[in-house]
Amino acid sequence: MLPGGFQAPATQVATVRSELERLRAALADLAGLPLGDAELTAGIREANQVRALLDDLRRVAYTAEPCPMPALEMLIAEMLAIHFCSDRAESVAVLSELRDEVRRRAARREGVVAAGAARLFWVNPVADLRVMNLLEDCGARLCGTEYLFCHALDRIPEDLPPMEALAQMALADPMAGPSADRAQRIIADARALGAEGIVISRIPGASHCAMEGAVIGRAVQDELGLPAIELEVPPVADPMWPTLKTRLEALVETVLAGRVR
Amino acid sequence: MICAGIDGGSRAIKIVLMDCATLKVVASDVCDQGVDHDALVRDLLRGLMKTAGVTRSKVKRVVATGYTRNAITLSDTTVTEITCHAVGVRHAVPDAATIIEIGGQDSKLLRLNPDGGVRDFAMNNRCAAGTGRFLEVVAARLGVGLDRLGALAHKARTPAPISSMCVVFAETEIIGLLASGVRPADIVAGVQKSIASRVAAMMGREAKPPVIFTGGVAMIPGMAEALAGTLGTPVRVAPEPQMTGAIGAALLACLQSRTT
Repeated sequence: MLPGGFQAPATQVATVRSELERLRAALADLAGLPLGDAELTAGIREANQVRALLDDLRRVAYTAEPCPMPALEMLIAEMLAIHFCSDRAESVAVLSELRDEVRRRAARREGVVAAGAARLFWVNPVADLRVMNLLEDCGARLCGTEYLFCHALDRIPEDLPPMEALAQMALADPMAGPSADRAQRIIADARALGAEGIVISRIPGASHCAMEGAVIGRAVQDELGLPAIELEVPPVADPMWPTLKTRLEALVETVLAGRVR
Repeated sequence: MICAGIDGGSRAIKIVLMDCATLKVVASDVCDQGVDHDALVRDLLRGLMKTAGVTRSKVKRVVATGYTRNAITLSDTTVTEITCHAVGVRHAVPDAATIIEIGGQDSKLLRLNPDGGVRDFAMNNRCAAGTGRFLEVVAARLGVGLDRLGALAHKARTPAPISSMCVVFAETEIIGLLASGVRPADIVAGVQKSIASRVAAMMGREAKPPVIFTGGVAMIPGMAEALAGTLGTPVRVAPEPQMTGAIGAALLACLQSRTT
């Protein structure tokens, strides 16, 4: 069992670990510094500090009612999970303040969209960031995400030898393995976060897997009974705006009508 | 009490006046879409009210749907065509489980819950190859009217394979087929089959019957048969398929007028 609920054979973990060992040796050689377990453990601890902050932020932002944080700002915050290394201290400071602000808003029941907005779970990052604003314009809020790097949000095990822990995390990457495994992770998260609908976005010509939308959408419909839509979002989405708006509005209508029924 | 449903589609505007007490259509009309969507809607509604002997003050609520719904200034509210088609079809066919709607610019697939609500839906992406526009292009290229495409398709012996994913390329492909002597009837049948295949791909799984076909393209003979053949299940054309969205909008207007 891997972090995030994924699974992989022990032989696969061993193979990845041996490749990471080669990488460790190469890095130590290039840097002219030792890269022992102690250094790796310290690095893992620092990465986990960022992950813990993001975990807190996501939990409050995605569960508080009304929604205390806009979808676009949450996307940018989550992106720090894979871009914090260039300035760890600044990333920690930004995330800490953001988390505290979101906690304050949640305590005061302040929202960026009206209470009762349709709770949508978003899969894959968008090429045109404005679409995250459109989600809210259409009467919805984010209640969870899977931006293809959920393995960078999960805590790296600190009770394992560091190379074993890193090998497991590498294999918990949703881009490794079949879309069906990824769908199960999405279903578990969407269920836990109370999602009422799923949006699977795609970037034309740049999606991870051409068939993932169908696989994830069907699994979500079958196991959760939730409506799931696919959106193709190009880098400049202006020509697609009316159809994107229609789909998101229709999803919101479907969710709200389902509540009445 | 009278309410109105307006479906501002990409190719046509449809308006329905409905008696909210009986949920019967009092009057309906269609006109081609144009540049000034709002003015066309106003003119069409004015004419319709005159024909039906209804004054504007008698129309209690107006719901707009369709591609140009947000440009219709006389509407009280807007609802997407997904919801309106679901409501409109279930009103006419209460046991409908799957709806295929093909309009001028897009195609939609709706799966319904047993209670009539939308379970989930899919729409085609930017490409017009699975829409009515494809048939218009073909009809123009072959020099026949849209209403004759079905009769022509019935004469097909071997539907021509149309592999292009884009209407522009498909038109080029059709020119090539004509030049190589393929019969127009086989081309039309091939195009209908191609559209049906795209809808089937959107379906992604078995179509739960009853499958109801609606939208303007449902009026073109041969399309329902092409869909049925590709999906492997009977496909019924909705009553007044072009008006389904407007009827759904009018029904929602009646419902809203009771609660607002």
